[in-house]
Amino acid sequence: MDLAKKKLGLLLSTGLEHPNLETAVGLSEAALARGADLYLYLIDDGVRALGDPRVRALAGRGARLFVCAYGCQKRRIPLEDADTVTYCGLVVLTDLINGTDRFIALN
Amino acid sequence: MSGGAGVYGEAGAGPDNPPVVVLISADPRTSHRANEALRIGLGITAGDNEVCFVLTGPAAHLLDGDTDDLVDGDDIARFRANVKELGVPFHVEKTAIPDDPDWNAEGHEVIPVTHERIAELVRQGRRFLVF
Repeated sequence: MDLAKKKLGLLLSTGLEHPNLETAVGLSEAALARGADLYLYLIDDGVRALGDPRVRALAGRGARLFVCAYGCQKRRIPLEDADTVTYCGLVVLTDLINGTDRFIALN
Repeated sequence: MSGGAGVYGEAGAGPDNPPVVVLISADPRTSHRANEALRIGLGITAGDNEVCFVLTGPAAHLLDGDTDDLVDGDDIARFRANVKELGVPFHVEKTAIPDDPDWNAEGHEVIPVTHERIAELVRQGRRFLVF
């Protein structure tokens, strides 16, 4: 299956200790390697995954990285002034749900 | 139609699209995740999407009359009131509905469903969020 330019949306809502993180990173790397457009949305405890260097590296490979601003606020995680991260709300998540070819939620 | 993520393409949204199924089984008495799932589902609903809320097992307690014993109870009360205003029903696993007469004291629209019906609802969805 040709994944080039196909849009994959990934939602991650679990924290660093949960095996979902490995799944998210693995799926993301595989999708990028096959030329898919990757949109990763971190929400709830998933916002802590921003501290994982593998997640950070995804942005450098072309992934769009979205982080729930509300989730950061609740956990007192300061918002960074970074070009590779977009802090946003549920409107963007809705866009991903509606606009991607495949959407996977890892909760 | 909003375009914040800039991803609209061939799979665009529309009123004829099947619903987004938000299935919640997390226990709001012990976990904040039930409230978070409700918040996310509400947010998706506000984006002109049809959302089908399904509460299974202990998640039925999201409709407890007294929210003081729920994690993030104040938020739950607020979010479910918004869901009610939008006229979105809760599909609740029939066998999970508590006997407590105070349950659903606010009169949210509740559709009791069997396991078989839950399976049908999931089959009819286009996207799934399972908490």
